[in-house]
Amino acid sequence: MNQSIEARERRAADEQAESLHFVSRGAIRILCAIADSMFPPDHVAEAQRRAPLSWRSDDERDPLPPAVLPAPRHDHVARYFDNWLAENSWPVRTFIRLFWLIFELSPLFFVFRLRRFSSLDPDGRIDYLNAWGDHWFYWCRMASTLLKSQVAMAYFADPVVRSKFRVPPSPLAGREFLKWRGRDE
Amino acid sequence: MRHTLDRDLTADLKTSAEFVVIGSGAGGGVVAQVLAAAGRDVILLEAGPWYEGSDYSNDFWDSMKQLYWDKGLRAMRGRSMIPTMQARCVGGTTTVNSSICFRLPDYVYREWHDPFGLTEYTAEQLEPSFDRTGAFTNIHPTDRELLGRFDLLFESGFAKLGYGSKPIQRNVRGCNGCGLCNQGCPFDAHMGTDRTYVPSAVEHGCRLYANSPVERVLVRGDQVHGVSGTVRDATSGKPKHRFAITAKVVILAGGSMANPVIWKNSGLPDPHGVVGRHLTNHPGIGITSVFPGCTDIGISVPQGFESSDLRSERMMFETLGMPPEVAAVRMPGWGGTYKDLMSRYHNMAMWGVMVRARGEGYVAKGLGSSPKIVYHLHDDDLRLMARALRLITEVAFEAGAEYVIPGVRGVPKVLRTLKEADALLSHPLHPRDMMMIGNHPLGTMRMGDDPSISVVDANAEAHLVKNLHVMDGSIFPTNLGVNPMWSIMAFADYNANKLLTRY
Repeated sequence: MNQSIEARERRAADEQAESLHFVSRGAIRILCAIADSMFPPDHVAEAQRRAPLSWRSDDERDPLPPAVLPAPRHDHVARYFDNWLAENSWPVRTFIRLFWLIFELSPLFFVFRLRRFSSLDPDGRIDYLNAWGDHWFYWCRMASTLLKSQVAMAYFADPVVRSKFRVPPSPLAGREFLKWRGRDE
Repeated sequence: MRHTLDRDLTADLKTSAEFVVIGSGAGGGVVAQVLAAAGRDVILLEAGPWYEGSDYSNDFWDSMKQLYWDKGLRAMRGRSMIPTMQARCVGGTTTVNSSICFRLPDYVYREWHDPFGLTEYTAEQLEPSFDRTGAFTNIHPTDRELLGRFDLLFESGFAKLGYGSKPIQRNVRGCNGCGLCNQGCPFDAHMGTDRTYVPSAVEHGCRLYANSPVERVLVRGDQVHGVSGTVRDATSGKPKHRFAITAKVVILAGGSMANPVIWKNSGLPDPHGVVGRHLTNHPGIGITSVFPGCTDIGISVPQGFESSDLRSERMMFETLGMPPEVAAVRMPGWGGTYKDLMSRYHNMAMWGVMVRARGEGYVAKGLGSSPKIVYHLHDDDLRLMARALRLITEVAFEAGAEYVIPGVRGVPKVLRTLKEADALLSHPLHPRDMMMIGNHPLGTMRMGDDPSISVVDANAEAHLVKNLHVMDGSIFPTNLGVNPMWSIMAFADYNANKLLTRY
């Protein structure tokens, strides 16, 4: 499973790197690995589910199944970050790239694994990301939050995700919007 | 993007006016309209562009970089990093807030009387200004049809605990509850000053230069002489031309973050070191609870309900809709469990508490174009936040929540029972343990009769620079405990009318 995910990420990085200006092949792999750790494909998520949350659908007014969260499209994530970096000044871009590099190379100091982040297996990645998010040092936690926020913005900017997730794909006007909400059916 | 005079410029601008207003938000927009409607010669300067509904995107990042200073990544430093967002467009933050409007509570007037000598300001005195601005921007309680189920759950939870709650008053016209208020209203329903006061001012002859940040206020002797700055390209932000405008009166209304920086860039006198000091705000913190059934989050009015019953204890509770991008940051962990939590987005309700904090900070010139903002929460504020979080968790369980995600480090990441929520009170909290947001920065140019503790007098005129007035939230000597937009508009209306008799 690990090999298939890694191969998928590497293939996406290779394909995308040719057409992008600011994000390198290595950076694409890191970002896609983070996106996959937030919204893993269903079979990976199933294996990672450590403390299942209860699900009650006994609400008579509006029973609602959990929303569909498709696996991230790596080409979209790569393009999003390329555009995002393009909008920053060069010192900020340099700082961000440096941070990504540190993040990629630091598993030894957080989970005692002598591997790069993007080469870890899915469970190892989760342990590593949790180690950043729960770290005693405030700036590690802050960096983890910022990474999560950036990847979430990239993920939810994808119109395919928005459509499957049932959030409005674009501002809909007046009655059309209300129809979309099912309010005037 | 709407047309403004800066786009017609082919060379540097040198002109004059009777009044120059810096900033077009809740303060500046109102002042410019009042003066222009009275037939006065007014120039209104705004750092950002003038958008129309069709210019807005519902992509979260696009709207952040389009509408907010520092692409929405501005933060207050101190005991922790607290994000704070100020809009950069015509209308200022009135363009992209949740439209929440409250009259100034009576206790605030009383608090300002003795230490600051502001005896002129009373509820009775300000009432006509509140009425005028309320009517002009169509302030009214939120229509129940537009509320989401998460608002109604909030109401039922508070009712079960014996507290009152009610729909929030908002300044909207023709709102259809699309939930995009904080990303720019795509339907032009949001009645910020960009849709009300500024168009009216322009109709009455006010000259509006957007994309024109002011860099310096010019002074001759102890009297204001004009302003100077740079006109920037509306899309690229690159400098295009310089402008220098001479004026009899300058009104500074750039907000609590910008005013002190303009003051210091201009080399204006500050012998007591009060400019930029006493920054207050309303730190906000919230919980995410998950309910059976759809809560309408993200597809209804983002902030439609409030409970003010505990306002006397410095707490104010409000519902808070959020797009999935924001919910994603608040969910703990990674991997399958994280995805499970996010898959319940449509069942989530986020409720927040806004604390009338005792903490203070300051604003100073920073590196580059961004100000240096420092703010320190007081330990009392932390205790209050813990208490408020515990209470609102109880409200969520009373309303039928399956579980609650408090977003506080050191307590369980998912609370399934009220007993688990007691950890919020027993755990010693640090500001860095919580995900806060700094709302409504106020007080950096505060008003008062004593020049050693205030920047402007009761007429909102600078103590040490004649004909320089400050008319926005930065003159409020303390925070208010409620959202300040309506109060800023009313004070601007009141003081602008005083300008008409004085000049």
